Amino acid sequence: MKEKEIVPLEMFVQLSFPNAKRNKLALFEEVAAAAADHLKDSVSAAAIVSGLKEREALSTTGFGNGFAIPHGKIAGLQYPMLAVFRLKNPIDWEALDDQMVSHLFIILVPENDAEQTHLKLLSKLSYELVNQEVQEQIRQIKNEAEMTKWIESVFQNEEK
Amino acid sequence: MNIIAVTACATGVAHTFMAKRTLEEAAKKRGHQIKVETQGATGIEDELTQKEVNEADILILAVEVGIAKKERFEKIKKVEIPISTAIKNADGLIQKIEEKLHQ
Repeated sequence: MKEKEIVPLEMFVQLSFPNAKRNKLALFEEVAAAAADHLKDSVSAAAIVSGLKEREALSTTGFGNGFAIPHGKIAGLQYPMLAVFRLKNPIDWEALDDQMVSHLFIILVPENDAEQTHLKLLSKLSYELVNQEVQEQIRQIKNEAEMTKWIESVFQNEEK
Repeated sequence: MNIIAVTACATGVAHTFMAKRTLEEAAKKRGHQIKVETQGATGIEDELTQKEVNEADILILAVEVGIAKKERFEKIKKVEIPISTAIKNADGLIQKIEEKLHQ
């Protein structure tokens, strides 16, 4: 059977991110700038901010225990992407449990039909992130390499 | 109880799947059977068959957009909730449903 060539899902991880902003919407600008700088796809930070804000306006992406999953459809984006931040300075996210947020798993998807395999991986990640034991595992992660490895293990785990 | 659910959120990659997990965990914790269909960016997954719908006691709709193939659900008892409620308080929801069905 011929295997289709899949571009790996692009990820950007930064733990101990020294955020200057303490307000959710302002923080979007900060993380978008960091992500846009490192992502291969030439999408502007402004487009990222716009997409994230649009989704956030519908309802908070802070789902509890210090975790948030900001996401959005981003103009000009070719492939879905994941940007992970652990904030040095936790902020108010209007989260469902009112706790301050320090872990951001930012999911960026194209406006149009996206690569389904990537969307499947991101859906799998969401499914894991809401579990409390998983959240505890994540809190214990010490560096970017470990985080990337952990995410990849979620993607590779075929059990359903 | 035999519970079925459909989750569907706006962007279809995050809340849809988080709600699936929280509903599954809450129902199983209380000893119920549950199957959750997702309608997200990847289309319909874990699709509920008409047989599964007919055999269920209740359908939870944790949706913020319109859902596909609604005709399946014409006859079954339903409860519709914001998807954030499923994520925030799935335990409370399951307990409320228990009260409602065992009255």
